[in-house]
Amino acid sequence: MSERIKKAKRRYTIELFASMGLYLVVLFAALTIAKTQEPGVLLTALALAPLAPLCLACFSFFRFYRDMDEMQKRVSADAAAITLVIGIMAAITLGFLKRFGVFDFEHDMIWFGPLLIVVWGVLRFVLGGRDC
Amino acid sequence: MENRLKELRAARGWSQGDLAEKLDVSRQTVNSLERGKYDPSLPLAFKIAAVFERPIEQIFSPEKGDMT
Repeated sequence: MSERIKKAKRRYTIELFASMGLYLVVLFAALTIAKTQEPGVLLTALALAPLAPLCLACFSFFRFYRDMDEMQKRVSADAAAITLVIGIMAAITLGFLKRFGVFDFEHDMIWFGPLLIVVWGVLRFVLGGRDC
Repeated sequence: MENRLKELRAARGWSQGDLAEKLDVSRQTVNSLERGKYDPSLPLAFKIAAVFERPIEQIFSPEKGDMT
């Protein structure tokens, strides 16, 4: 791997783990504080607070994406396309299960986004190997 | 598309990592190029040609059936 890409990947990995750690902290803090709050501005702010570290992670990824070589970009795009299909099919499936009263996943949907990120990461590894 | 990347690299005694550094790509990309799993863009093909100091057509050739 070229030194430039290696450096970019190292920076991305550090920033991603920091963002994900921050996400978990903010999420659990927001959920804990929210239990004592009535609907209002503060509760809305708490509900949206976990998005901030996710935005940092997205910024980090797009900066890394810009530094990738062309094959890494293609692998990332292919993995994103497959993840999109999986996400759509999963959302429709969960929707049907809820609609027909089989199971209500409403409270677990908070993990849907992070789960898709994990799926995308695994697909990138499967399609492109360790360096992608 | 077929290519002579592995042969040309070996003739110069370069590792995949060395070539990756010269092309500013990942080692995985060099590996995929050599195995014919990935066809480079035109700019990367020109870069490869420049690194090996050969015309593109001496490095890359269409696979049988590609021209039909």
